[in-house]
Amino acid sequence: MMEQARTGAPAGHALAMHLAECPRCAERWEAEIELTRGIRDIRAASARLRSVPEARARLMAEFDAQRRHTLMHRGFVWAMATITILLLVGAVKQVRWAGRGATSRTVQSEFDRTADELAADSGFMPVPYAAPLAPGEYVEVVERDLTPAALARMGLVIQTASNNVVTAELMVGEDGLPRAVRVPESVGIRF
Amino acid sequence: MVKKGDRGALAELYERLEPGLYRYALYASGSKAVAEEIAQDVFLRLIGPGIPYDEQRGSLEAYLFGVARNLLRMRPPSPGLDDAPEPASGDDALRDLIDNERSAALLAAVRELPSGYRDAVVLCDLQERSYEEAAKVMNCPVGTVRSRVHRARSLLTAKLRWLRTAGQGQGVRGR
Repeated sequence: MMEQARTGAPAGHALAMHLAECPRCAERWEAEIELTRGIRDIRAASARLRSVPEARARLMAEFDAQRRHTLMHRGFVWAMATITILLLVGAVKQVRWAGRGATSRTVQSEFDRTADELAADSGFMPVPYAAPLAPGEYVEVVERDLTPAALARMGLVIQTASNNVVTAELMVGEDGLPRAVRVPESVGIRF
Repeated sequence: MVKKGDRGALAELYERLEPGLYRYALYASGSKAVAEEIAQDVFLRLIGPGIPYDEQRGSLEAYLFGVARNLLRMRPPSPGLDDAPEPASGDDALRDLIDNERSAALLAAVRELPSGYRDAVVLCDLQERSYEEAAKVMNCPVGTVRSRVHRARSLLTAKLRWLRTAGQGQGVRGR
């Protein structure tokens, strides 16, 4: 009954018969119809109501502002991402260039000492036939794992098995060529 | 489309949905200012970042009505009925338009309903939405909406009957 009254449809034959016989249901039906009529009046009165036009203008302005902000933010993010990638690529290249050909770590990188100062160090054996250091030329001492054969080519014959590598220190000139070599004291040198 | 920055899509959506949202808030609050604020807030949330709308779960319209409903519920509670001031005539848009005294009383009765019943009768009767649509807005089963509508209508008919009786009583006393 309520659903029929909600839609505003007239009572069907069966319902009309019942309403004619039941005063309680008839009263309920009348109340529901009156309620539906009242709701319809409210709906009709408010059908054209909506926000003031300024509200729409405010919303569109806010939308435009947010759109601008989003575009700027997106541009900023892209720029930062590009810069980060470029920096990473540069860093990787730098690392790869610095470590080019090295098989052992550098122990005294950028160790600024003149060749004369280094000559005073004990334990370094000059590499035969190496070009002499220029006056004031800087050298770098690097640590490398060398085979006895490689050491022998530098004029250093050691007492160890032929396949054992020895961690030696190389004094390298600015041209990257070794000038002198030093092995740990534990390694016996055959003179 | 709106999220991709389509201004025209937003304008079209606003034209289509704003009147309904505004009236929904107006029926529930009885205040033009509140209704405008709610309708505006709903759209600001729509264009704002991180809108959690999932089209798999229902239509955008139902979602926006759900947002409006939550915004209305989040508003600070109005004073108790006994202390409630009558809305200023300039702010009560509907009462100005409704010349029928019985309909004006009905509107006041709708606003005084408990929020669950009020939402059901506003969505299903005043906004002519189906039970299914109302259920999506109210985030509850269809059966719950149906029973709330029935219960709300019973309360409203009782209120109207009481008003009619009170009016007749006043008429008798007035003679």
